[in-house]
Amino acid sequence: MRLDPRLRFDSFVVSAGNRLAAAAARAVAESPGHAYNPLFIYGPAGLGKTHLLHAVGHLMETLHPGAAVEYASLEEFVEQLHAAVSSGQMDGLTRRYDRVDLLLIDDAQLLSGRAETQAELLRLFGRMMARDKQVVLASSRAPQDLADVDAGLVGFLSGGLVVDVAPPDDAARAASPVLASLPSPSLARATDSEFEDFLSEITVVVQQQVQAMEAGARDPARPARPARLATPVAARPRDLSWLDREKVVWTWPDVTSRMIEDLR
Amino acid sequence: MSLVNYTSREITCKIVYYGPGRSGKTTNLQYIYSQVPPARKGQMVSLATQTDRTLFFDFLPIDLGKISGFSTRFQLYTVPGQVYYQTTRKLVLQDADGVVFVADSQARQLEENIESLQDLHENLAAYGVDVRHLPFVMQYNKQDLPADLIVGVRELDDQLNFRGAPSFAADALRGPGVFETLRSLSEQVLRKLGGAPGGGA
Repeated sequence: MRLDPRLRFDSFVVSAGNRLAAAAARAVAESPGHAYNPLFIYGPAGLGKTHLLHAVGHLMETLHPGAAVEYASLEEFVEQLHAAVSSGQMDGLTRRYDRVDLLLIDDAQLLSGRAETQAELLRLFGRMMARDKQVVLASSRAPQDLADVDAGLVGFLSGGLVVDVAPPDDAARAASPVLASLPSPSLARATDSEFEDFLSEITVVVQQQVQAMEAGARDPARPARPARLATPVAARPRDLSWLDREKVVWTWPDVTSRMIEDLR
Repeated sequence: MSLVNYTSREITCKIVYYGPGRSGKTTNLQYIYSQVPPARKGQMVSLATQTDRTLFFDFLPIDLGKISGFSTRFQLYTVPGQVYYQTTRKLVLQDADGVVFVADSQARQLEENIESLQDLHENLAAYGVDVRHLPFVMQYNKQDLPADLIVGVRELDDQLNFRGAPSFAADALRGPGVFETLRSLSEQVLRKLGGAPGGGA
């Protein structure tokens, strides 16, 4: 995935809550493979972790022209892995990542419950370390708080520098129009954590169900389940009960009218 | 029924918040809306009367992103609780993958809760859906009100939850119980996709 040109160190607002993370990120771009390896940045969503990952990539490209920088969210890496396995092109994916000088992995908390991805990443990280290549990860949780992750991988992720980011102080918020528009720090923390917790738990359930569905599809001994495919809207029986007085009396706003037309 | 589209690799789940008027269905969606990061949610559509009661329904789409290669979306709906809007209520219920029944914990609203629950069963039956085979969660909202005004969770369970569905005390205005309710129902709905037990039919 391409680096976002807007996310650089000069557009990153440093505050007491992220000063250490920003300094460490800058250090690994200046001295990749030697400063802190891996660098693991964690904290609630919306506090600049992704910004720092992109900024490391940009600075690396500036200071070390020709360096191969790869940024991927964990979901994107999983998709690449699935595509490579299903097409028998695993060697190609391995060669691609073995050429990388700086690997930036975002949303590492989504490693939870993904045994195959964890194993593949551990092998990849091992090869990169052996060649002094740099790894930087961002996550909503610290390595030791990642549920259902292989102990060896947790050990690797904790083996370099683990640094958190905290909500910005008032001065930093005032200096940034983007931060100033966010809810107060305490509210932001509660907001991020509540939805993130929900998302993490639901993600694990969906993963299990997709695995079960796909295992069922591959098992010739299992009786075929009727496919539950999406019914095209146009093919659904038309329910004319919409045309009652409840609907007629209302003047629909445009967006809602469109939605209702979709439902019909 | 949940839509699992293998071609486009999408999972779409429709969740309906049902219950009597003023029990807090819209408040549940408003709280969820306030907690979901902007990139994950669509526009919340609410159609309300001039007195802010839900005339038609609320609709809140949430994009959970790609999970195991499937774009996963939840669509949350509320129905209008007022008795008059029976047709609308029934129509919103169509093809629901799961239902949250939001009960008003106030003692004086107990009869309305029971009537609404009966109304839910009738509307589901009209679609040939047995509530025993549908992911279902009870939420006892307004448990933050003074104790002498409300009915306790245990008694509400006795009065309303005769099927033994998961039940949650909630204060939808401030948030306690809102995500617990959604999480419980979402898990039931999703577990039906792979045919695992615990999700009903």
